[in-house]
Amino acid sequence: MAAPAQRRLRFALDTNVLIDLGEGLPFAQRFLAAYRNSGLVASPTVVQELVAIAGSALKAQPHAMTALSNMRRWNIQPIDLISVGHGITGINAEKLIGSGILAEGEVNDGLILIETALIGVPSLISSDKHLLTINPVLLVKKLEEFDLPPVTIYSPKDFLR
Amino acid sequence: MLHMRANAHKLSMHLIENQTTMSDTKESITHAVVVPYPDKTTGSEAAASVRKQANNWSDDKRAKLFEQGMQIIYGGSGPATAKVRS
Repeated sequence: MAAPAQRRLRFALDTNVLIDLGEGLPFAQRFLAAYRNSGLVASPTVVQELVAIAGSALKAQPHAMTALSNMRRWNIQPIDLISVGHGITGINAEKLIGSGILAEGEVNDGLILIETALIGVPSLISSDKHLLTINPVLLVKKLEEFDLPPVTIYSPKDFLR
Repeated sequence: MLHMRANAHKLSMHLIENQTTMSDTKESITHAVVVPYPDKTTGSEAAASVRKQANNWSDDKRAKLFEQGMQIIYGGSGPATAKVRS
């Protein structure tokens, strides 16, 4: 009997998009309705940030909790990396910052980006201004230096025109 | 003659009905305003805020948060995630 085909992972969602979904914002719901069967994933750093927000006093606290509790229902797959993968993401995120592609101190942005590449997901969807202003050509070159596949960063509004 | 009148009446009714449908459609199009995805949301602000603190998280703290997240996502029922080998 043939093994079931593994669904292709296509879009990694950033924390901000998941909180918008948890809040039930109409534009976020529209995005989910259109892409929920398109291989959506949440990287380890995104899950960590959601838990931190869910345990905080921020206005988004209940939305982060809703996002975590509904992730499976929304067909969003949380992904972990084996421990060596976590080591690689840390080192390469620091290198991204060192090269000037990412602003100083934006460690988590770098981690999310490298995790997305390591998982093999070609697109990261984020509202984070540091991520959205990265030069895409330099990013692809840098990822190539790390032996990682390219990642393109999109704003969620790029998908809803 | 009566037959012709009846046909003319049918035709005018048909036109009126179509007109109503057209105007209804036009109205519903006018009211269906599509809200674009904004640049700033509660989510983008919260994520930016937590990200500033998160930059200094230790590996242990990250592992613990991830584990808690898996418990919420899977309701403590077990095999947490797909693990990816680099």
